[in-house]
Amino acid sequence: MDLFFHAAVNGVVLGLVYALVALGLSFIWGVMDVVNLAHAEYLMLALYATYWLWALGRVDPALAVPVVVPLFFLLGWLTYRLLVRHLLRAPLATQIFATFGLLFFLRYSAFAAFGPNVRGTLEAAPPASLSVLGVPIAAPKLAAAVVSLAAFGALALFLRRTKTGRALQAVAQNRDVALALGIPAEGMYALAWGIAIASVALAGVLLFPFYQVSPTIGDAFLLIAFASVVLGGFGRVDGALVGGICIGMVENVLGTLLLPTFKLLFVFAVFVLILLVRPEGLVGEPQ
Amino acid sequence: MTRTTRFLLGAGVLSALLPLAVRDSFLHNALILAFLFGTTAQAWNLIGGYAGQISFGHAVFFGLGAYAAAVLLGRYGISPWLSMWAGAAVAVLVSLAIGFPTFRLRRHFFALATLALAEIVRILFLNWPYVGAAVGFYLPLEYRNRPAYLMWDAKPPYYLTALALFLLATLVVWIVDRHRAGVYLRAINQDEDAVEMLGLPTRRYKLYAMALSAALTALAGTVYALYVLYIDPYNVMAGRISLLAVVIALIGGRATVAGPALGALFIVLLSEYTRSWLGGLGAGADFILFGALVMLVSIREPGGLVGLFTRRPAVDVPASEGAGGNPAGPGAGPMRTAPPSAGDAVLRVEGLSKRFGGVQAVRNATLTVRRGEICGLIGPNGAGKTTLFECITGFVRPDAGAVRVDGRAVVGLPPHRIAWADLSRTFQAVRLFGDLTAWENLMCAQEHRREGLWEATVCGHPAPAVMRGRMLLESFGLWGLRDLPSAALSYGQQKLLSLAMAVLRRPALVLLDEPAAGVNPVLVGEIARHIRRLNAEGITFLIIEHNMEFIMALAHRIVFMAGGEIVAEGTPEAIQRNEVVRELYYGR
Amino acid sequence: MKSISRRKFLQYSGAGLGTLLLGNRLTGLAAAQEPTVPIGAVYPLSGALARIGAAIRNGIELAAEIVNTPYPDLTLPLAAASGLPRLGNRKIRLIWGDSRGDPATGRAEAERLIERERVVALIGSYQSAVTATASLAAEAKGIPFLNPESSSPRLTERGFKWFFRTGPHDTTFTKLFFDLMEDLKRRGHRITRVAVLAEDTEFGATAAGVAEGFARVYRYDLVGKELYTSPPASLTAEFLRLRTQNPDVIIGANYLVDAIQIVRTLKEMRWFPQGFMVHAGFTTVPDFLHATGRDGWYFLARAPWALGIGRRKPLVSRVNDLYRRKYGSDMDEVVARAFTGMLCLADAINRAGGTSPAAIQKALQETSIPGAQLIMPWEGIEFDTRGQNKHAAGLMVQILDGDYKVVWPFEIAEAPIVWPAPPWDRR
Repeated sequence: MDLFFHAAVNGVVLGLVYALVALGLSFIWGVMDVVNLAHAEYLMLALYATYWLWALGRVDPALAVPVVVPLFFLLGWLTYRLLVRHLLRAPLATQIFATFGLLFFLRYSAFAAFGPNVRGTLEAAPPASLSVLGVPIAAPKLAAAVVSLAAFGALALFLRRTKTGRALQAVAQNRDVALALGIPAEGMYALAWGIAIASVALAGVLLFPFYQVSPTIGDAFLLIAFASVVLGGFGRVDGALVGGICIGMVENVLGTLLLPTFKLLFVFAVFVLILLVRPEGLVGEPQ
Repeated sequence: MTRTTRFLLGAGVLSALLPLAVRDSFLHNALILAFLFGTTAQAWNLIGGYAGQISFGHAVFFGLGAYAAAVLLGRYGISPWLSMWAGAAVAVLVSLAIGFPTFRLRRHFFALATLALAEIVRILFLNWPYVGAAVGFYLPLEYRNRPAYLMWDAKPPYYLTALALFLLATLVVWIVDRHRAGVYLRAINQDEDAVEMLGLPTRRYKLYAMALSAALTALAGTVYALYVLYIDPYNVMAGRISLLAVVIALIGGRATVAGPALGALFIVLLSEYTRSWLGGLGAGADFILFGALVMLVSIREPGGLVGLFTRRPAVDVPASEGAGGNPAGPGAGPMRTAPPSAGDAVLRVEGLSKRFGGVQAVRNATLTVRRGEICGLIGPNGAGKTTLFECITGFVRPDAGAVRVDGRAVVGLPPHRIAWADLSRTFQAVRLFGDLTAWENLMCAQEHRREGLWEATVCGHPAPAVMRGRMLLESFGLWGLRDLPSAALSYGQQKLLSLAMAVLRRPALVLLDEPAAGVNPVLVGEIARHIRRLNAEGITFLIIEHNMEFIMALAHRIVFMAGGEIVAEGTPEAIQRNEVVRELYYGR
Repeated sequence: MKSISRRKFLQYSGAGLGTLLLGNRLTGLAAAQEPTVPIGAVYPLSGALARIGAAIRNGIELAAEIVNTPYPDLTLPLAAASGLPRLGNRKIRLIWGDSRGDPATGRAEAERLIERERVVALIGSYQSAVTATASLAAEAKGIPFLNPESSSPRLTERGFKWFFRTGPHDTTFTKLFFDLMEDLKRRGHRITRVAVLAEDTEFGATAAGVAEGFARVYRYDLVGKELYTSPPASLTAEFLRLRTQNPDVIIGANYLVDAIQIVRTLKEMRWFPQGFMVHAGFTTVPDFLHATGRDGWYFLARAPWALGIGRRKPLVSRVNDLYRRKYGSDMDEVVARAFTGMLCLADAINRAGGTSPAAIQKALQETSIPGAQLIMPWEGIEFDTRGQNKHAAGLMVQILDGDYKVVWPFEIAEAPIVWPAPPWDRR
């Protein structure tokens, strides 16, 4: 029972971290129906950005947020301008392929630029553990989890309460109608990409003290992020939150109680099951 | 195309002779890998290129082929020449198990499902001691240099085996490409619902392509295992293999026969040679290039490398729409054919209801269409006319009620089965397969009821369909445009083509959704004339239309719908006089 | 316009391909006329293991330099003379092949080196899976293959005639762990439960399997065996489970990629077993301490070598000084193994008196290098009939005060072992 409790608390915290990573993926998917296969590579790049800020400029990771996050907002915006914009009217397959190419390009560019070395640092911010209901959780993970909740809340407020947010929703629902109403769809899409990539960069900066930095780190998160999005319900921002927590729980509770070796198997099995039984996701409405 | 065929044949013969001329095992190795991954890419091309179902999990099939051969040889001494077929069979079963549930879903779900399933299978193999688990499986070396066991020290025998396999895969794709199945798969890629409505069992074709693809991939996996002689889940089941297949097919040019061949040579050779030139310096340089190329291909040249060599001849599209007919206005004279004398019911809708969320789109609709008549279905926007069509054709399942086509209950059947009940339809917005030529579009509409998969793979279009198709295109004035991609046709021509597709197989009943919308008045008249002539042939029509002049002149009988209910029906004259209709429709 | 650019593209690519093919020919031709002895080395020079590959490359190149130029003050084989004395002082020339860490590529590179570069012998290839396939090429062509550092026991059980391994394998290594535990028990520590945490690759699974076997023989209770896919998004489930099973010792087979998460998850849970013993993998790579600082202390690693043995063996320090002057860092155990393997191979070629593969094979079989001529703490190098060095052995090092200290066998220890490892709040 105690083990279950520890696993569950860890699961929720980790799930929130996954949700923050998946947020941008879900957002882009929802706004423009594009599946960004390269999503986790931005996490990798954000980890590197934080690392280099620390290694070259001795910038504490906690202070890297105001530098890295706007930088990645710009990067997301650029990705849209240079690549995604050309794919708006393209068939779904072409969009998938393009972001797939982007994944290759970013990952191996990182290989070439930074080498395969594994980097990380402890001196910058020694991750002490904090107690959550008696369960020790590393501070960076807890910070990421809290920020994750805040980010989901902020995004929901932004979408509901601001004029820009409502315009974004209008574009997401019907691009042509939105255009007819004078909403600049292109600008909205670029904004969505900026927000999405900035949010995954935020996750990267927060996770930096806990994770290693290497060009392949994206592998660890890509499928989990997809699983979170599909599980919650694609296209819904809150779906990623619900999905992320579910994945965190499945991984940790089933993994810990049954067999850690098969924890990813459980995650993917649940993922496939949801795909088959309830493709609209846990919080989505049946089509 | 014949030029390409000859070129391919020549290239095949020349490559078979290559090991005699060049004794460079580095080149041999590079080419062996090019052929094996080329085979995988060619196999992927069937499902991912032609049918447009993107799989990121082909490593599973590759690995199954590799493991089947390795384990059967290592544990039971069974020759890979036999076990490769066992591997292929297992791969087919797994592919069907993956495809059957996921082909119902939207396409990116299928892609994600393959990604997840590949991970699941990989984890299972990593923890399955019988096949060596994570330690991997060493193939027994005592079979070396025994051709009966597909194991040599020298390269050329592997080279020839891999080449033969690659030619086999290319031949399979070529056969599919040249016959009906290729056209169908490309149509599925473009618009699955539309091709389903033409009576094509789309899921069956997707499963077929998937199974063929899995089998070929497994064969490549077998040869790879016998070539490398050590396998573990990381070298035969890893994402790397799946991704390589995708990259090769994409950069080479998907949905073409030559694309994966060119792509394999380009990518594998480039990859192997950059390694040898750059050594450690080139860390992943080739992958950066591939990534950039894939993006570029997606944006600029969807044809891939093949697109560099072949270009579509530019053809001017004649501006005249439906040339050849003498224009006749819809209201010109008593054009309406005589109403049929009390025919039996072709379509009987009884008490049909459908609710979407809070909207009752169709409420207790009851409707009968008699054999031989032209029945108009009119009503204000949002009256539920199109929803009624969707319910009849099986795209939407009604909440209540029955639909009988020719006396057969069809509610709950998949759309293609309803089409087989002898019904076809057009869509409000034209839904053609834009990349297919007009003729290919039309041929997708042929009779699929008793068409076997094998027949579709190896046979051309049946003569009756060809004859009738030609007759229809000629009378619609589209014959000269038959080799143009249908996306290049004008809107009116597309409307005519979709009408031709709906009537090609002479169904008992044709549902037309606004055939006259958005076309010029001259063409409207022409369409009316065609419908009358087809009606005279014995085809019954149920037509949704907003163009009152057109439908009143054409229909024998009009059904009026409003607010999801059938409010009135009668002769056009009676409907035009009907007070309720006047009030609801014309607002007076 | 478009068609022109296309044609140009094709022309350029055709011309490029032609030059390259020709270029390859020319280098091959040049190689045949050089009065050097070409030796092929196949290692992961790119990909995830490139860092280790680069270090190995340094070690092997240093060994080649020691052979090729006179180092009279070193008591290593062939150090005093210039080149290979029995081959008319011909120098050895290294030709590198990049395996990318992939078995198929490793084999292809071995073949390329044999056929195109006409190497007389091969050295390689770090990962056991790659060594398995690369040595297959050598076996088929009848070229000696020397492997200094792969640890799968299986490699020397294949009955190969051209395969030689100077270093120890997992059985030898794992025995170290259990012998150390036995010694600790004699000192009064209570050790009964053992668990394994390994990545789910050939490396990890082989190590885990061997540990499982030893646990049975030595009568320990194997309470857990967790394999995970690298890189993991989290190791929380694994460690929650391990903590519940409460092993006294965890045996790890992991690379550096996951080491940082291992250390941080342990610290997060405020838990550490009595001892965490690692199959070299991460602990001995200098980057490990850069990334984890004090948190990385107290891990124990098996190693066939440690810088610390230089205190008893001055030769080690002198070679390490050379290495540091050249590459700016200290040698690590993988480098030392590769270095030793290269010297052993050069020694055999010299004694063969020529470059015929059969002569080199025979010389390798007759190898007898005394321990004094090695930087390794071994009694020497002599191969058994399966090609395994009979004297390959290892020792245990522990990370203490940011340094790698030999702590076992106790007779040669530089520092007393810290056992059990102190809990996090008392570090």
